[in-house]
Amino acid sequence: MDSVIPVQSKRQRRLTWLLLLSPILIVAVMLASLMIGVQQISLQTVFDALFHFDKGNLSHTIVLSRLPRALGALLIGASLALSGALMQGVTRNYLASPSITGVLDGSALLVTIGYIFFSGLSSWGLILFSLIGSALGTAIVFGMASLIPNGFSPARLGIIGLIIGTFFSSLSSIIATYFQASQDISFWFNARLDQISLEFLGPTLPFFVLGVVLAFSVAGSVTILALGEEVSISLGQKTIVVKGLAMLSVIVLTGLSVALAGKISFIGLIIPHIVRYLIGVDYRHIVPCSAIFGGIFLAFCDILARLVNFPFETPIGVLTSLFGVPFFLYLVYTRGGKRHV
Amino acid sequence: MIQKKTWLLLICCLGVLFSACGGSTAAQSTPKEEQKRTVTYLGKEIQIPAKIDRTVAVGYSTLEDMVLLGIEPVGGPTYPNGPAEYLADHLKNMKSVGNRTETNYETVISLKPDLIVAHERTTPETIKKLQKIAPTVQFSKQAKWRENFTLLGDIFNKQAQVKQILAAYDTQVADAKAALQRSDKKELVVLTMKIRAGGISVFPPTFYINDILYNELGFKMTSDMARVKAQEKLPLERLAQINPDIMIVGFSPFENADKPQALEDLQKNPIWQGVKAVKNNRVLLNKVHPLIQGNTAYGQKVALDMIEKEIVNK
Amino acid sequence: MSKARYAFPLVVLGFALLILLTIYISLTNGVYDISPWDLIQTMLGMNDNADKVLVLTEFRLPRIIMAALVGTGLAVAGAIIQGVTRNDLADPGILGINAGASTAIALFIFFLRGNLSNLGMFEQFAMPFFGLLGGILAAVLIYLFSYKNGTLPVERLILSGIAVGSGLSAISVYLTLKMNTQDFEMVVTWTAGSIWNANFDYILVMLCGLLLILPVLFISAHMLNIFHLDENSIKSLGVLPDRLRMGFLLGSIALVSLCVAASGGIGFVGLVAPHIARRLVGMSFQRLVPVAALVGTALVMISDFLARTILQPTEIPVGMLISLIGVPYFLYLLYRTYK
Repeated sequence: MDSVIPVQSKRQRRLTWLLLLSPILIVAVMLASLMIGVQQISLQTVFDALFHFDKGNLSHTIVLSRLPRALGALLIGASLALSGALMQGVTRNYLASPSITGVLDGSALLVTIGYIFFSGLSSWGLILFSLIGSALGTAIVFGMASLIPNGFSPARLGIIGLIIGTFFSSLSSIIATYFQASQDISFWFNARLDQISLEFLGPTLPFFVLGVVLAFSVAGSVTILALGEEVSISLGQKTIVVKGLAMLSVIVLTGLSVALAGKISFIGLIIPHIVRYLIGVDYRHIVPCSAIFGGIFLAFCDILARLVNFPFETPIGVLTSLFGVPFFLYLVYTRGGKRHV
Repeated sequence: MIQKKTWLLLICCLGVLFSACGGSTAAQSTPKEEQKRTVTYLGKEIQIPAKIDRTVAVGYSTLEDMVLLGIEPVGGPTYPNGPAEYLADHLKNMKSVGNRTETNYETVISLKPDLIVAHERTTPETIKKLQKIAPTVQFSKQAKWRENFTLLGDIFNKQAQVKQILAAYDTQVADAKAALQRSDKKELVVLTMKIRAGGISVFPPTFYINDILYNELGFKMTSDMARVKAQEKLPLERLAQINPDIMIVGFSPFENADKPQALEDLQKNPIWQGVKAVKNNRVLLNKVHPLIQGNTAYGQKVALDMIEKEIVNK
Repeated sequence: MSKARYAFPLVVLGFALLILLTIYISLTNGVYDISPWDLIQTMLGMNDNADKVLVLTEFRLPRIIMAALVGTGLAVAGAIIQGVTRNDLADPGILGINAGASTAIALFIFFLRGNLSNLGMFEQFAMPFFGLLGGILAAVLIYLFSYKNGTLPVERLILSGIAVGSGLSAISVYLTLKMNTQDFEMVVTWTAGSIWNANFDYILVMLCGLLLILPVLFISAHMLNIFHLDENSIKSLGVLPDRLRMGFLLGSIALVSLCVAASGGIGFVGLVAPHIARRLVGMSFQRLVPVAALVGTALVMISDFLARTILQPTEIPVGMLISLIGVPYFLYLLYRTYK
């Protein structure tokens, strides 16, 4: 019977289910994040802490301290997944994602410069540097890709991103090594998710909102763009504007992600794929679902990061790579090098 | 074919150069006749020149102990803006021969050293090259700081000074340990850590400060500490669980020494504020210079002095 | 299609001269003062100043020779890979060898370094050997992964390389954050690629390897021209292109592994050198490959010289310098090529 139901409604149903389940999942993963850690805290205590906070109770303090971390994971996961979805739609390349296209490395370079040459930079300052960096990275990579014929195809964009990414990280490396700060900076980039504090999280919220709003505003157009350049032009779309807005959203979202927690790879790659697989190619649906699932997934990885080498912390990038690399290889294996999804 | 011929030509040119050097290396392979002495290190005999006026140090840890013995090498490793601050006064005339990882051989050779002393982390290829410049002595990875320190004393004829410093150190440790056992301070939980923008890192029991605390003085080692095999990142919550009475905290030299940025974020965190050491104001910030290498007599003494002053006798 | 910009012999001669000039400048400049007269004296075996001879023969010359060998190896591998993958943006790094080798080195430094004291003369080969092993393992992994029904689809190769590379670098990050700072910096320097510790033992091994592989590759270079045809024409040739592809790739893997083991993860040479060569002598591989070798040699030699003299006495790892110079130049090249 199932095969009679057209794909469209199957996807429609999945979408509905997903949207219904998502608040539950979000709450579940948040609670899990508040409960699990060095000290396991019971659900009851969590509720007490949230609603009847007692300053003297250490468990309550711990719950409250885990809150920004959980929120941060949701936020960053959503940002990265959104960026990946937008990039994949705009470039019609299933492998486009912030970590592969050198955008994260651009942020990383600027932050290195900020850390070494402008010590004592406030959170706002670092976010600013990070944004400039991701703008720079995006501009260069996409600039190059538009110059070269077929530049946006998966293999080519991947290589360009690799080259530019390596360039930026070489530069960061030289600066860091010369000042003998390389390990400190490496810690900054790879292992900081657990330190998100409300104070740091606060300033990034407006950027997050901006990025999300931009993404949503462009989502419908991206769907058309993803069908092909000629199609969208013939439908009267101003492709430049759409691409511009989309990339602006990417810049803002990846910038804030790096500023908050350094380089986290693969989220922007994996999540949009899974979402597309489940609910189809309408970006008006893909955008919100990617955000939701990106957040949930990263929060999940964050919980794992606390458990894998108990009681010590593991850098979150290691965990996302643990899932990301096999998934990426699987994609390559089944899809080959073809351009479109 | 054309390209093969030209390639052949190039190889010939290189070959000519090669052979020319082959010839000349043979010419200089017999070094000047020198007086030699023998010193014993880890049960083996090492030959060193009898007259040592000019020494080059490779490795920051080597520098520390030389300075302790009052020796100023003519060349040694430096940081971007000169030698490490805590040694700089004693190394005013030392020339830089590179940094932590790379040694500039040409600078070394232009300093015409009589002896080169290298630390245990120097790679074998580097040692081979250094040996072509001057007799080279390398600390062994199996040796502890006392053996390395004694070796330096033997090399530079400062055996008496070495013995005295070691004896004083041992006495100091014994006294501190006794004082500790007599008081209730022996129950204190002391934790060593480094704070970076990336969080709190803790070290294995072999780290020099931990070695003094747990092995030599007998402070209690928590089960977590025993588990640390390499540098690990400690979650703040775990810190709260361990709840140390005293924390020895190091920073990266990038931080402003009195107002470290990384600490500011922590100080706002209620979990940090709840830790015993923080509440009782027993956070020892950068009391030992963060750049001090472990496994040297210098580092041991500085750490022991600090521990004695701040923990045992307070 | 094979219209050369300049005549082949002219280009070869030009680069040969450039290389000789670089050798000369490199031998006579550095922290230590060496005059041209010292150089001549040493070559004739007549120099009494043991120190000067030492500087020339032990410190400068090995680096120059190693730079030549590494530059040649990487450039040739790059030209071949670009031909085989029909993608002129390909670089030997995509084979995953650099990533595999750096991770192996991190593993080595983290777990083993303290415990290898009884290898005697071979101790200096321990770390490079590990790098070699890691690089080859990574490459074989990627190769196997991309292999499909007797063919080697090129895009799968590239993408698998990127995937495995990312995975390996995550492992590397995990390990390096546990190391003490000094070991960490050693891994970084190694990964960035550096020739500062070249010695004649390494050179000997490299030479043996290169002399085995390079002649084979040079002689069969013209077969690479097949890959200039479009995909369908290649397919109609039957099984041959696939066999060729695999063979050439294996040769490249061997070359790159040697180079990376000897000098760390130097990148971009394999990317940029073939491009420059192409602009000079055109696309025909029997001309492209040797010229790429010359370009690579010159590139690495010049970069190594700069790397050790720009910030005297501090050295910049040569790999970093090459990417600093290489990437902007490469972008410019691309812009000119595709304008």
